[in-house]
Order: sequence, then structure tokens, then C-alpha cells
Amino acid sequence: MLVTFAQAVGDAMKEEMRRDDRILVFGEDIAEFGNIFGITRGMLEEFGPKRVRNTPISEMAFIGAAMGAAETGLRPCVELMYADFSLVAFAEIYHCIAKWRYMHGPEYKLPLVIRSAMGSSFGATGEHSNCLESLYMHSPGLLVASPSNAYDAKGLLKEAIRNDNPVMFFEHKQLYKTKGEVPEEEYTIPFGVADIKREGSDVTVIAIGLMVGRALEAAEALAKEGVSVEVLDPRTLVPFDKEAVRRSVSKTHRAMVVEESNKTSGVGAEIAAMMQEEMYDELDGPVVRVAALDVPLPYNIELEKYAIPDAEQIAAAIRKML
Amino acid sequence: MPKAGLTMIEGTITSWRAKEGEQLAAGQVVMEYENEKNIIECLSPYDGLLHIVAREGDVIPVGGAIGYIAANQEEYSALQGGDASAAAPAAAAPVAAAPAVAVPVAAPPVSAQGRINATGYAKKLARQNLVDLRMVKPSGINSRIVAKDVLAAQTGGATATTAAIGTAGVSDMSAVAAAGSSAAAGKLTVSGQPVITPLAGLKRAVANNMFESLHSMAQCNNTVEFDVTDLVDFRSKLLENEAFLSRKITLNDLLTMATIRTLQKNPLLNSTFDGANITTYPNVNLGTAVATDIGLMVPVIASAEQMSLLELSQALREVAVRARENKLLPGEQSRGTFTLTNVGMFPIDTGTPIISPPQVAIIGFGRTVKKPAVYQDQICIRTMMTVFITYDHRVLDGAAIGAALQTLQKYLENPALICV
Repeated sequence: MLVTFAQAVGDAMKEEMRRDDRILVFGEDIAEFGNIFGITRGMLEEFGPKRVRNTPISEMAFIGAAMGAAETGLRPCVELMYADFSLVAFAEIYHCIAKWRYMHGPEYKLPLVIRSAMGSSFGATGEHSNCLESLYMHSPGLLVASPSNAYDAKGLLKEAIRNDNPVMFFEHKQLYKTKGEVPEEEYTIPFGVADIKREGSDVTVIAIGLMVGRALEAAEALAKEGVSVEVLDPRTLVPFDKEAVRRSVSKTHRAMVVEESNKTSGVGAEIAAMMQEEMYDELDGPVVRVAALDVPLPYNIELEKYAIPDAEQIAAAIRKML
Repeated sequence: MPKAGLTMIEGTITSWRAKEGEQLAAGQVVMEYENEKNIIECLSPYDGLLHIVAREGDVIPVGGAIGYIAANQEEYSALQGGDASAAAPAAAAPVAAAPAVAVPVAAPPVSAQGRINATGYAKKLARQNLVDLRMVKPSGINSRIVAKDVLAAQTGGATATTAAIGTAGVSDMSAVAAAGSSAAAGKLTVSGQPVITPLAGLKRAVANNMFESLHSMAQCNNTVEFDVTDLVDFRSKLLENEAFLSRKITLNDLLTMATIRTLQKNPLLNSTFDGANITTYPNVNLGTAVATDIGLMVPVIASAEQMSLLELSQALREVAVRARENKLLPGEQSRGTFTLTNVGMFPIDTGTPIISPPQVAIIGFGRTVKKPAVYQDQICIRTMMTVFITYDHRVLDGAAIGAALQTLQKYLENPALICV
């Protein structure tokens, strides 16, 4: 069944809500309006206003409320319209939610999913285009998922909802409309299992979210030049599938990380550091990071394009590694 | 200065075969150098103009600059201008970015501090394949050795410099040795002045290795006298059958064989130790000390435990002859797992031989002497021999050596067992 990423996300929530009535969703404009991307359309009608509710534009308050709900045994799957807005609730997420089980004991469960649309989307500019995975990777206690296609999004979200730990779930705006094959039957995807999106033998490209597609494009172009690129999609950044990376780089001996966020202290910094520490003997050159420029994302669409890696930039960086 | 062999730390420039300013072609012989074991030809890794910075007779540490290859006339002039030693590194340092620019001959990836610029994976491959990274030509950015360079070196490319031992080089070596000794002798008779001989080449390397060995291990000795009457008789029988065997089996052959058998039963002696890990080998790569005109050589017979007595005898003879003719191949004196030294041809009973690192023991055999001895509770004349062993007490102890000597005794007193 060919479905869009957005539909896959909506289906995951609906299927889980039918299975378990402790699951509830709330967020800005998700009830009657059905979310600005149409993801939660029909949910109010099906599950009623107790389980599907709008919140005021007060992220700190409703993320705090979601945490409280999770503490009482409910399983909220809340929506922060844009990941950028999670910063308003940063203390709740970074301190309270991430550390809850550690501070109070593992018998206190915190089954909470915070979903956010994220990333660049044609001139949404500096306050509405952020990729904040690395911020939340830095907070022990949070799980972080960043799927790159409809199939992974659905399987991972169902797994996130069933998990007893808080999960930051990032959905790229530009991916919402992309279509992918999703089976009719029930499935979930475990966290911490990377997926090889394309096999290759010369270079391992670890790409995240929107960048997976661009890495695949670059790989396709390079294949014509006789360069064999392996594209590895970690799917979840916490937990991170180190072993998959090790297997891949033991074959290619060259690695690159491609992320949409800016380079400094980004996801690539963490992965590259881990690799030089733990896989040094397999590396035949430095781990290369391809990332956005260290600038607030420009409003001008041409400048925005310039700031974020595209397939051509990725391919050029790979050629330099060989 | 290229590195030929794992133990080489410096080399002496025997002769420059190319002239200052000469247009070199990659692969051309530019220089001959002497390490502790051989005279080796150094091939030019690049096309270009030669600028020489080290003179014939200079002793240069491995990785030290001996000359530069300029890509063009301007670079060459820059290298020549002013103080060569000051100008050369300046021209050579940026080299790294583009291999086409002036590059020090033979050893570009080694920094002045001796650090090798290679990737983690290249180093791992070099370790696994026993490739000496100092002999590998880098192709990566910043003159970094990458995996494919190691693989190229392994399949012949960059190791050509080590492999090139021409017969010309060897005869030159003898000439140098002969000239050296006659000149020294001449001086002594004519003037009666003390003769100063700089320690160089093989002798210098042996000296350094011996000194290092004694300073880096806990060396300990044990000595025992064995009754080798039966062994000598056994050898006589083999000698009677020389025509049948087409081989003259020596006492040394039998002692070597007995040692190999002993190592197989006491494998800890057949080990190396790097300060952290003891590596014990399934095969015996036996080093056998050979005295030559230019100094001590220790050719290694690989997997000696696989050989029959006849094969071993032949191998021992063959390496000894080549050692004396200075025709050992680079690497033929390395990778030993145990060493044997037989001083039985001299009036020497016992000694404290020095272990060849990273091995953990060395065995020595003294001369055979007829002596009054107690045999079957009678005093009679028996042929006796002293066996002495030096071992690294960090790895081995008296109990382990005692057990090994007990095994050896069994073989020496029951020589038929040696051939089983």
C-alpha cells in the first residue's frame, strides 16, 4: 500500500489508540483542524474530545501536563507543532522528563511521546526550520527517533508509543508528502536498529532524516562513476546502532555523516567522535561531516538551499574522500 | 633513509649512484646504503631532479633526510639556494599537500620526530601483513599513508627498495670491508698510532641491539653438563652413511633438531614478549647465529619444526653459506621465535648469550670434551658437553627452563628420538 509519510504517522497513532485506550493526543490545532499537515484529521471524531484535544499556545504548560498524564499511567502522544517550539518547554523535557525515571526510580514509568514537525521547508526561516536532534541526544534519558520514510515512520512511532520511556519523535516537514510502501498488516520497528538503505563497498554514508534521500541521490550519481556508496540510516539516534556502523565501515573503511542541522556540535560530531574512539583501526581516513552552514537558516530560498547539503554537495564530498 | 628490516634504526650511505642535480626517473637506483645486514639499493620513488643532503659514509637514522627530489628546475634552484639543510625542509614541508612537489627520497611519511603519518586502517593492515610503514609511499592528502598504499607496498611496489640487493652491491660490500681492514692494518704497522674505527653498519646495529636487549629484559642464565657420548656415536653412524644419505650430518644438525623438538614440547620458550603480551608460536622460526667477517648474523629458518633432519641440515648449511657471503635477503634475519648459538668449535664450555628481542630465550652449546664421568656407577671416560640457556625471567622461570632442559637431556641421551 503506497501511503504518504504524513498518513503513515496518522495511521500509527490511530492504530495504537484503538489498541490501547490509555493513549491520548493533544497539541496545538490537532483536534477540529486536524493538524496543520492534516495528520490528526478524523481522530477527534473517532476517539472523542477526552482523548484528542487542542491546547493553548503554551508549550511549557502542555508538555508539563503531558508529563503529569504519563506519570498517572496514561500514555500521551503529544504534538509540538514545530520542533523549534520544544525550546519553550526545554526545561520540562531536558530536566523533568528525561531525568524522571533516574531521579525517582525505574518503577516510575514515563510512557510519553513528543512528536514534532522539523527541518527546513522552503523559507520557513531561522525559528521554524531547526533540526534539534543533537540537543536531545545530549540529555540522558530521552530516546530520539528521526525517520526518513513512511514505512520507518509508522513502525517507529508505534514502537515509541509502546515504549515506557520518553521519546522525542522528529518528523521532517519535507517528508510528509513523500510516499512509500507500507504493509497493511501490523508491524513495529525496534529502536536502535539501523537500516542499510543502499549497499555499497567504497564509502559509508550515515544520513539522517531528509538527508537519507539526498545521500541516495548522490550514491546513484556516483555509481555511474564507478563509486559504490553504502547509505546507512540509523533511524533512531538514541539508541544508536553502533554495530551496524561498525559492520559497514569494516567493509568500506571510509565514513561520512550527513545531517541537515548545522555542523558545530551536531549529530555528525557525536557520531564521528564515537567512530574515531571505537573504530579507529577500521578508518582509512577522517570521518567527514557534511552538514548545514553554521548560520541561522536564511529566509531567502536560494540562500536556504545553499546552506543545507544537497545531493551534489554530498557527492562532491565523497569524491574528495577517495 | 629507508628502513630495511624490522630492527634497522639507522643506515650508512655507502655510495651515491646518481649525481647532484641529475634528472631521476622513478625506479632508478639513486643510492646504496648499508644496514646491519646488507648493502641495499635505494630506488627513486619519483621522477625529478636530485638534491643530495647526506654524504657518503654518513650514518643517518631511519626516516632521516638523505636528499630531495625537485619536480622542476625552480624547485631545484630553491633547494640549492643558501644553506641546503635550512632550505630543504622549508621546501619539503609543504610537499605534503601535493606529491608532485619536492619530496624527501624514500621516506616521505615520516616526520622529523619519527612519527608515521598513516590512517588507523592502514596501520592495522600493515600490522597484519607485516609491512613496514616507513617503506610505504603515501598517496593520501597531507602525505598520509592510506590502506591502498600498504596493499601496493605488499604486492611489490614500494618494497622494491628493500628487495633490491644487487650482486654488485654485495661485491662492493666485500671491497669496502677489505679496504677498511687493510687500511687499518697499514696504519698500525707504519705509524704505531692507535686506530680509531667508527662502529658502523652491522657491528653498530649488533652493538645497539645487544645493549638494548640487556637493558630491557630480566635476563637469567642456567647451565648444565650433559653426557653426549651416545649422541656423538649416533652422529658417527650417520657419518658412516654419508654417501647413502648424500649428506654429511653434523653434531650441530642433531643439536638443532633436538632443540626444535624440545621447543615443541616446551612452547613457552618459543615465544615473544612485548612488555604486555606473550605471544607463543605454533611454528619454530629458528634463528641460528653465524659468525661472519663483518660481524654476527642470525639468519632465521622458518617453520623449522616441519623439516626432517636432512632438510634441516641442508637449510642450516645453506643459510650459513649465504650469511658468510653476505647474501642474506632483507628480512631473513627477522621474525625469529627462538635463537640457537653453538660455540662448540671454539674452546668454550659455557656462556651467557644475549637474547634477541622480542624473543624470550636463547640456547647455547659448548664444546664436547672427553672427561672422567660417573656412568652406570662407574668412573669412565665420557664425552661431555655444557648446555647454557639465557631466558627472560619476566616470561620464564627456573622451573620452566628446568623442564625444558629435562626434555633436551632426554633427546641428547637418546639420540634416536631426535629423528622420530
